[in-house]
Amino acid sequence: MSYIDSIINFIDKFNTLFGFLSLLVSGGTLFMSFRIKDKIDNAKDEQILISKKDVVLGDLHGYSIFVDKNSFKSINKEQFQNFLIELEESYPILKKKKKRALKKLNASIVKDDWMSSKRAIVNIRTYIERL
Amino acid sequence: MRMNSNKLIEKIIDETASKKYSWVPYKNNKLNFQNKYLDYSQHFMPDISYIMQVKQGTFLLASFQAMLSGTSVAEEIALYFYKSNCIDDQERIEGNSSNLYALRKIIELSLDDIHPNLNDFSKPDENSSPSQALSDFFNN
Repeated sequence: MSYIDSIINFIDKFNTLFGFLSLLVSGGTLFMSFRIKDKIDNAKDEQILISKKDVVLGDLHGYSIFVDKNSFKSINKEQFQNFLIELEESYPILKKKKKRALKKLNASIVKDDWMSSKRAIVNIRTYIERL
Repeated sequence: MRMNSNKLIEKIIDETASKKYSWVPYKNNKLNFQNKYLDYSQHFMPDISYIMQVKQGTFLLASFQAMLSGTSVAEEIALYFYKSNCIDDQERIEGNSSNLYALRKIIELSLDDIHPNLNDFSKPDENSSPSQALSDFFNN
């Protein structure tokens, strides 16, 4: 009897261990599937931005050159902020990856600080150029 | 001396941003410049295309848009030069570069940046007295 008992005992322990391992594996799979989904979403969003890369880069560069040659007062700030809102909402990848730069840019526009605004614009442009 | 197209565009961008070059919208322009070939094209966008006339001819920054599947819009842009305003003598300087989109943005910002002169402190003529009708109104 004790022989059978020890087999049952062994199977029981084996089951517990296997259950624990499968829990780990399924946890890992779940985590990986979230990561893959995130990567696919990012790649999709990146593609949307890449297809409009020239337009977005050109518009940002245009603002930068115009203010450099004139003054920050010569552009309509509300229009500039609207342009940025549209940029942020149309391209989710920018909202995700360049959230801080966009936030900083908005704050610098409110503060009338062109140098910080320019820094943020260059930061965003460099990111888009590298895509 | 012939310039390459990149240098030429850089110069145009520079001078437009400094407001030395002035562009006008293509649509209903008063410069009598019409390109009938483009006007027939359904993708040509006269509202966001601009022209600049110089002694030697006319520059046209032409924007094109087309609907892709669903809601996305494909956009193209090109810079043309027409010698002596003759539309048959067309020279395509460049197309679809981010510099041309930058130029378009600068043109739009320059066109928006036309304000009345608020620094004009000239006073109304001090010698002029109120008109008779105005004096009558106050005297009654």
